[in-house]
Amino acid sequence: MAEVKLLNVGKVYEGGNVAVKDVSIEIKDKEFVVLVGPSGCGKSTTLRMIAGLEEITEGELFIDGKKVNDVSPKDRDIAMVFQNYALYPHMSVYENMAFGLKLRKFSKDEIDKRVKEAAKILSLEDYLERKPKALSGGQRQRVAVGRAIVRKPKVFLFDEPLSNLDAKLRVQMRTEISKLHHSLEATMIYVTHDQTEAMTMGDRIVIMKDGIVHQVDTPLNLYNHPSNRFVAGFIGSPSMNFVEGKIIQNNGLEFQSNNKKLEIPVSKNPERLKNHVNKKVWLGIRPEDIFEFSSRPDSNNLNEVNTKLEVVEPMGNEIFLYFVIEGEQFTSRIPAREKPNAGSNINLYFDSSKLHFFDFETEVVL
Amino acid sequence: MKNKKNLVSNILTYLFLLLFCAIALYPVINVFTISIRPGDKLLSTSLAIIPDGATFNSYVELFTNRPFLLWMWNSFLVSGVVTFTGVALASTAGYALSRYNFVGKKSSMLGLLTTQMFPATMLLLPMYIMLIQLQLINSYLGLIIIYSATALPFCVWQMKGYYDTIPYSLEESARIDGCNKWQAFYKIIFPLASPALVITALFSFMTAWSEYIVAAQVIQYTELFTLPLGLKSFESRLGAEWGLYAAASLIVSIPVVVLFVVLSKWLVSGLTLGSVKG
Repeated sequence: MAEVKLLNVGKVYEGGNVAVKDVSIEIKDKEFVVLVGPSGCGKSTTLRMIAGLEEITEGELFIDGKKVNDVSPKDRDIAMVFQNYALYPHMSVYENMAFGLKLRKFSKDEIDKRVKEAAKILSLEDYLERKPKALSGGQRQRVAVGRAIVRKPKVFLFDEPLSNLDAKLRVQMRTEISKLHHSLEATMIYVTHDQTEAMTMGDRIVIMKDGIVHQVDTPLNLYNHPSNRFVAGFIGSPSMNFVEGKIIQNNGLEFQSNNKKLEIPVSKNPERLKNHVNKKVWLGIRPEDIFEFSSRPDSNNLNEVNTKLEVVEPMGNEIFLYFVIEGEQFTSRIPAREKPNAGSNINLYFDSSKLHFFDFETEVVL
Repeated sequence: MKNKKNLVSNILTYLFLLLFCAIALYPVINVFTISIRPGDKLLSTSLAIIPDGATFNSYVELFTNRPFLLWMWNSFLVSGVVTFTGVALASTAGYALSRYNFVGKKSSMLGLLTTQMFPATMLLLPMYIMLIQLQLINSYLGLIIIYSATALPFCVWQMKGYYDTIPYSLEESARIDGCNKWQAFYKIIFPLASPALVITALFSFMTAWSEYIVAAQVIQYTELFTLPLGLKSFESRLGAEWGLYAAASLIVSIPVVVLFVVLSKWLVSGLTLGSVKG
């Protein structure tokens, strides 16, 4: 097991296309790190550079303290699980898992032992003689995982391994991979575009967009302290609400939206916004920090806003309320109770202690 | 009622199929009939499949008094080498064209395609001149070069097309599992491309096995003849030895049929089924 260190790593394709820019991440031994971001953000390219499938055009990559920029994939002691499984169709499940070990000249007994061990962990014992085409999607992905774990590599790489599975199987495999991480105590790097996967699986999450790392932190820190507007909007479902406006001085600092529909005092750390008085900012507030009357907490920080509900979505255990403030779509998440009617006017309460502010130009958190 | 209707349509279908089988088989049967006719009835118009006084004399003659076995060996030699060259070069060239980007890739593919636009007879003269200068007249090497050059463009294109359908992640997976680029090719991709390899092999073999025009220019000595040249030699200015001709024709076609039957087991689609999410 080993640590992985990326130092100012970049990827420029022929023709000048920049896929990844100046990425520096230190992944600790036995850590589960998730690279997440919208499609085209460079997360897969970064993973493929760690695997050695893409050439690193800038910067340095270290695995277990050794610089591996020019080491071929087979000598990096890594294993990778692909999105489309990439099983060898002409080999049985057993042969698929044994392939890497055979190439590395392991003894027959050792190969047999390891394959059977992996098959047991992944409940594949009954399928060892089958060809991949005779397996279901979930089983195929398990074989792909098995092929990785028999090798006992230093680092496991996962490239969106669950995105081809149906929703139920995805949740199941998610917990299986998490369990595997705990039992193998391995360093794992996992790429996904699904923020739920990222939040639930990662020890730390790397958020990328346009080839740039926006924030590296634990899931809860990302959620509670996003470093910019993109991260704030990307993490969390439904995502954070944003509205533009400015900070004004009025018995203390206050946020005022462009058309004064929202006027909320800044009750937490107002000093951070001192330099932004009369400047444009983005206000961000999470759906669960907007309450309706009956479920509102007992707090001095609530600010009443009257608005018209556009859509009401009952989810069973909670209800999503959709409304518009100054042209921006807002969502509130309230506990399930009697459902308010779409089209009705309702008083909602914004918790001013839970506000996030972002610079209007740079979108960096204030 | 329904059963009756089915029966009638079945009978009609089979009659239709039988008719076409007869059309396809008639020439073969006819050749067989001619091959076993006694020498004095070669020009008979009788339609009997087994003629009066049927004899295998032509076959005996072929193998005892004529260098037929030698020609057959020559043909096998030439076709075998052309097949091997075709498979070896087309499988690797197709792979390079499918997987790698290099300067001149597009133009070389277009170039290969362009060669297919010229009829072989048009190339006869320049090829002949080239072979003379290379001193390859009356040599199998000359023949093999020309046959390979004729078969390769098509084979390279179709190998490339087949490789394009094999997902790239299989090689990547193999390379992470411990293969170098070459191992990933021959351990993973090569076996998966077997349907295309079979087509390449058959096409190369057929190109050489039944070719006459080029062989007739390049090979002049009887002992170097390939089968088509040998067959033609049964024809003389005064007449043709139809019995020998027919017997030889049948024997010539046997290896091709056998090859098709043996290789057809690899001609299955869906080899890559289940490897990746489709």
